[in-house]
Amino acid sequence: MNRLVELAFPSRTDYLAVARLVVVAAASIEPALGEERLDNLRLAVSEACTNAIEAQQASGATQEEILVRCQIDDERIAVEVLDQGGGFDPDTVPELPEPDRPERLDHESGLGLTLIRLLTDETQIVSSSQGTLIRIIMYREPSAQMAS
Amino acid sequence: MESRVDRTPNGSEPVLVVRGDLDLASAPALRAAIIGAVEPGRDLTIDLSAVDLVDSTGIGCLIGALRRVRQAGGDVALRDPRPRVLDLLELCGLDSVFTIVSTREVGDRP
Repeated sequence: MNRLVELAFPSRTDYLAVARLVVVAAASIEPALGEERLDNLRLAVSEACTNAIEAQQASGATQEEILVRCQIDDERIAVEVLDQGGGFDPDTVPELPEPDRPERLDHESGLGLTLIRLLTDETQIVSSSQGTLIRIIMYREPSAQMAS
Repeated sequence: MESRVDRTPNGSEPVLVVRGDLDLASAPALRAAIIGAVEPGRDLTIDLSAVDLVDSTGIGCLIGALRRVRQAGGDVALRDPRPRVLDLLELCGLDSVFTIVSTREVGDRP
């Protein structure tokens, strides 16, 4: 069983909820992810799409669509979020101060990529000046990650 | 996202009651609501009982609220966050930064 679900949406924040709904609905097709892992995927997709929207708005590519592609099989769901923003170096994202440091309150952003990595089984980021691809993988059974 | 400002039972402190998802789409309205609810020298309670999703942008808004309220001489309490929101705060190490209060009885559904 291999299925593909795609969504192309405008670079607008009010489509974030649509992207979350589509991915969660695709991941809910039996055999579905468990509820907690479904919540984690929903949040990770929100972060990836937020990154895409902000990247396109920052680079002026607001007329371009953002593509969300879900590839589903018996073992896992892979979600790709592709934007045409200006790109970034995922290895040089600044670290946030520790939560107990007063200066932590000066940082309202910068958690998104960390959360994606924490919430998903695998994350791949490919970025250039032409855009960014964030690929998220969630296995139906967490142990499948180790076996693959 | 929708919000309104209530008062604590004794009427002394503002309570910002928020409903909906806290994400990039709702962030401008949430920031405006927070700024409007900050009162000098008073604590601010943010009621999250009707919030289903908070992502990193929403977390950023809550951090901004904490900074603004502390600068004004108060502190922030988050009231009745749902388990998945609480999990996220813990994941980010921020559950110890905010005061978390629960008004639910054991067994109440969120």
